[in-house]
Amino acid sequence: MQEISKNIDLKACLAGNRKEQFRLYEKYKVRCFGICLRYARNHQEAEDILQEGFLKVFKVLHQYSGKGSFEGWLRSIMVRTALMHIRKYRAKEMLTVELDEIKINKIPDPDMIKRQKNGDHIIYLIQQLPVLYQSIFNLRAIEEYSFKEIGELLNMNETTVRSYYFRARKALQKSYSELRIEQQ
Amino acid sequence: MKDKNKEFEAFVREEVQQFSSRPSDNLWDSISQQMAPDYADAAGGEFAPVDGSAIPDAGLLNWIFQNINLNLVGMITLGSLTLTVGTLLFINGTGKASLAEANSTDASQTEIEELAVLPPSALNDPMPDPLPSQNKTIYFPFDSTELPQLPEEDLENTLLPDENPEFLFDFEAEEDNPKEQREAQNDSGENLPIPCSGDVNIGDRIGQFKTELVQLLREDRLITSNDYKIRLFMEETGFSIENEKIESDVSYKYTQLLSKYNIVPCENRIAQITPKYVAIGDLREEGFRGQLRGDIDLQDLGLQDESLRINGEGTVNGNQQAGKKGALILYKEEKRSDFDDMKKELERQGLKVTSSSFNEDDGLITMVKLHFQHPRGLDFSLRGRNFDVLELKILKGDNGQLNGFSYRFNKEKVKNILLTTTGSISRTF
Repeated sequence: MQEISKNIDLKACLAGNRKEQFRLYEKYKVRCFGICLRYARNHQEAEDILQEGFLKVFKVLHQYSGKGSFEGWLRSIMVRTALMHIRKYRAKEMLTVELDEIKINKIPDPDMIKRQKNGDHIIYLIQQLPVLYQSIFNLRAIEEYSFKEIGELLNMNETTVRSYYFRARKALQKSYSELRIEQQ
Repeated sequence: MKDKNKEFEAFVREEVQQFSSRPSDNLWDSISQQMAPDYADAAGGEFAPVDGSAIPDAGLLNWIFQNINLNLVGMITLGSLTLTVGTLLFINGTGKASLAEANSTDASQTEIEELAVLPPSALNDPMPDPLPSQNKTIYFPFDSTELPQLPEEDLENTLLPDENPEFLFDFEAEEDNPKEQREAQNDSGENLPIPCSGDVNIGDRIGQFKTELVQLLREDRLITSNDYKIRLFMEETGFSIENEKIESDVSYKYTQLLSKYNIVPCENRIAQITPKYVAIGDLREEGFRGQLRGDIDLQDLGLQDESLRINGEGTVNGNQQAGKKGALILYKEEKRSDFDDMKKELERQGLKVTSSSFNEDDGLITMVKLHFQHPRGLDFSLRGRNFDVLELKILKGDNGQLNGFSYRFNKEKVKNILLTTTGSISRTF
């Protein structure tokens, strides 16, 4: 177990010290929230996942061996929590995947385009993907898992994963181009 | 090399790091409320440091209090002892206690005698069945290779980043539908579908199965022309075609047929036949899984897109062909490195690729060419332009010996190329 920064002591977090746990949360909440947003449909669901994720982190913190990056470990927990959340609450959506066409809704509020950064736009577009495409795109393009790993993680055929991924990427590319045209 | 797809992926990775959304400020409160209590907080925050100077020295007054307390304990103990001894002496002296003891013993004896009045057989009889209506055994065949899903709690406790759990998206396990659960509980068990316990695989006998099935269906006038297409549901509740149940007086023949081939009827198990093909297997959430033979159009199985749905192993004339399982697949969105990987894998499996070429434009493959040669005579050139997907699969005999390969562009028919084949094929889409 190690100190992940001068201000955060993992041992203290593990011992249940609320102040240290809060510091850890504060340090990583934004990055973790970004992960959650990518797997969620909206802000509220992302918060739910973030909450579940941090509860899990504090529960299994003793399993962090100290080897490797703590942030990498934390990200991994968040990703898995997000997938668990999807499995639990959005399983039915996964059965109704549109295979022929992925429709991505345009950002509803034009002012939102001006207000937000590109990262927000991308995340919004990712959120519009059907849930399985969304998860696969995130796992591959952002978390950089291999198709094989994703297949194992989602209990899916590797070929199917690849196919879903290419479709998701194509749909995102298209919708992002359209968004940029609108911005101009 | 220009690769817009790769650029896009890198762009997305970079951009998502720059988003500005933040979680609500009060989210931490929700998290901390659900965590194990922090005893430091419960005591009013951090444990306050103890100030040693605030504690007075143990002086004379303290010594007096301690000694008084000890004396008090001693006095109470002595008094209790005296009282106990006195009581015992008094009881023995009167003899009433002995009478009370005797009465008490008689009462116990009476109870034992009353029990003994019951016939001895009653003691040996088994307990009556509290639920006599549930004496029917419902058998659910279960294949131990398909392990049940772990409960949620177990998953949470074993959530390690390095693990690759295969529990995600188990739709059946996670269907959270109280109505369905209630209905299932109310069901006596007789109508519960029997889940399929394993894949259907009858090997080379699939052709014979088809012949016999067609014969039965003709006898029963369920096939009346040579251009038939039948999907027979073979479920534990009976056989049906297009939601029409096969009458019980003839269905025994189908039961016998399945029994002959060791096919167990179960939920969503089908046999689908046309003059061109036969498919036996299960319609599952993730697609069809089972055994195929013939020239099959997978859309016939209700699969909108074979590349997304098919999980079955295909066989044509006894040879494995380019099906999805074990096939090397190149999508038009893939890169030169993927093409190189495909070539390496072909060579690793024993097929010699003597030359190749690869063109792409705007991140999409526009042309690939592969030239295969083999000492047994294979000299075959394969070229594809503007395809969506190219599948290649090595064909091996029963002894594992290389027999050739099969290829397929998009959803076209599979073509088998043997080690003696010479020629070339060029397809443009």
